[in-house]
Amino acid sequence: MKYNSMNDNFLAKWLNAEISDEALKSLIGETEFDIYNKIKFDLEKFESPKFDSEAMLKRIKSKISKPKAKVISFIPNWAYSAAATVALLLAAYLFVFSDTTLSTNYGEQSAFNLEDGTYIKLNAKSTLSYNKRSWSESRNINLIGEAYFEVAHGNTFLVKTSMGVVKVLGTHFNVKTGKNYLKVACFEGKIEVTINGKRTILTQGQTYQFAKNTESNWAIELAKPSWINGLNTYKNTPLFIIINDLENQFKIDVDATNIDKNILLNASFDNHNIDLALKSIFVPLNFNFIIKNKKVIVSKK
Amino acid sequence: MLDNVCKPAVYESLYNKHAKDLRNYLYYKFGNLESAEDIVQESFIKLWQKCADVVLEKAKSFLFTVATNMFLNEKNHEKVVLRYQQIPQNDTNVETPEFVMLEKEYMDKLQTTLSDLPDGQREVFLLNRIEKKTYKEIADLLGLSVKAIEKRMHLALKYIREKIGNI
Repeated sequence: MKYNSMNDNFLAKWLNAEISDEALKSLIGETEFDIYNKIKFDLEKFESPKFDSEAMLKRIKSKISKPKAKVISFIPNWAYSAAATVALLLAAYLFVFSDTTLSTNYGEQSAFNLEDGTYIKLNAKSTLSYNKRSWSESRNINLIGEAYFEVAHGNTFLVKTSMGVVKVLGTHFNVKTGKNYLKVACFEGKIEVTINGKRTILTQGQTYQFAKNTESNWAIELAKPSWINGLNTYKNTPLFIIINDLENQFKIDVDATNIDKNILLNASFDNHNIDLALKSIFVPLNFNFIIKNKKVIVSKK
Repeated sequence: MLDNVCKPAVYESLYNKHAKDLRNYLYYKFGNLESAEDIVQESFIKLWQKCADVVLEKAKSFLFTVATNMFLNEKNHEKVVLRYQQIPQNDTNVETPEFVMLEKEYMDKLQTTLSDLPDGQREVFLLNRIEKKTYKEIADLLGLSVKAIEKRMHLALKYIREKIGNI
């Protein structure tokens, strides 16, 4: 076999069709060429493992869509031109008083851990805020929407809603808020719900609901709220609360002006499939619905 | 800042362009398919987190560097095992059972030899032969010269030929 600079890496050049079969033959002889040629041919039979690109992209998206904690600043415009001392005072003020806000958008669910180890899962279109600085002294959370909590043991833990306050020491529970509506389910431990000054104690396995100025109680059997696993379930719940959830889950606008939205329902819907979800709520009620670009019109049959 | 990596559409096009190459590169280099996919996922998440700091032109080398480092840091290497298509069996086939057996033996040997290719040569050789990447593309992917890729291709084929022995 002869070597010269022209024939550097001649096998690579042959694989790349820069050197012809004939040239390689004359370089290494026919017998050797045949072996190389067979190897080249047989290499075509190998394949790389399948790659499910879409599935991976989905996983990546679900991981990067977690809400970013953002600090809502209360800096008024004049502060920008204020003297350095004022800015400094303001900085100190912000340091102590600004709240951390976490929120989810339509159809999103999101889980995170607070500094003390408390685990929170937020359902679709929900917001909660708390003060990071004063957290070690008072664990107060403001909630709009629905969230499931696994509270680490420690100081009193308060969930403040527009309807009332939920007080716990260390437990697992779910809070759902709405217009004139509050539902609290206790999955572990003991919690106290206060509405209009009236206190109710819930123990493990109990659900308390306050809807349209009416209280109700029932027992739960699950270890966690079902929405975490993709099913929204309701008991004795006003229809408008369920409709609101459908809107938040699927980013739709439900027009139900022609029906009574205050009726109480036992129902559930799959929060992955809009069509199925709408059917499972409205078909048993004997209502018709039509979907027109993100708008759902519900009417009586 | 028209084509910012932080833009979801730009980010997604980067994913579509590079995810598969990155997965195959990691697999050919380190052998562990599951880890390769985990690391592709982690690398893209990291790219998203750093999207403001990575210019579009550097996104690919960012991904490859991050992924390679992750693999070197945490993973044990395994053998690459590529599947090959079985010899087609049809009625007009007059091959004797012995031939079929010998052929199977030979293909298994070829498979083992590919796994045993020296590090550096293996991923280059397989990216070219299996993934049909050109030498230039591989050079860009790995930040090497075309000459260096040629050298590895040459040595890899020579290595395979020696291991295969006489057919």
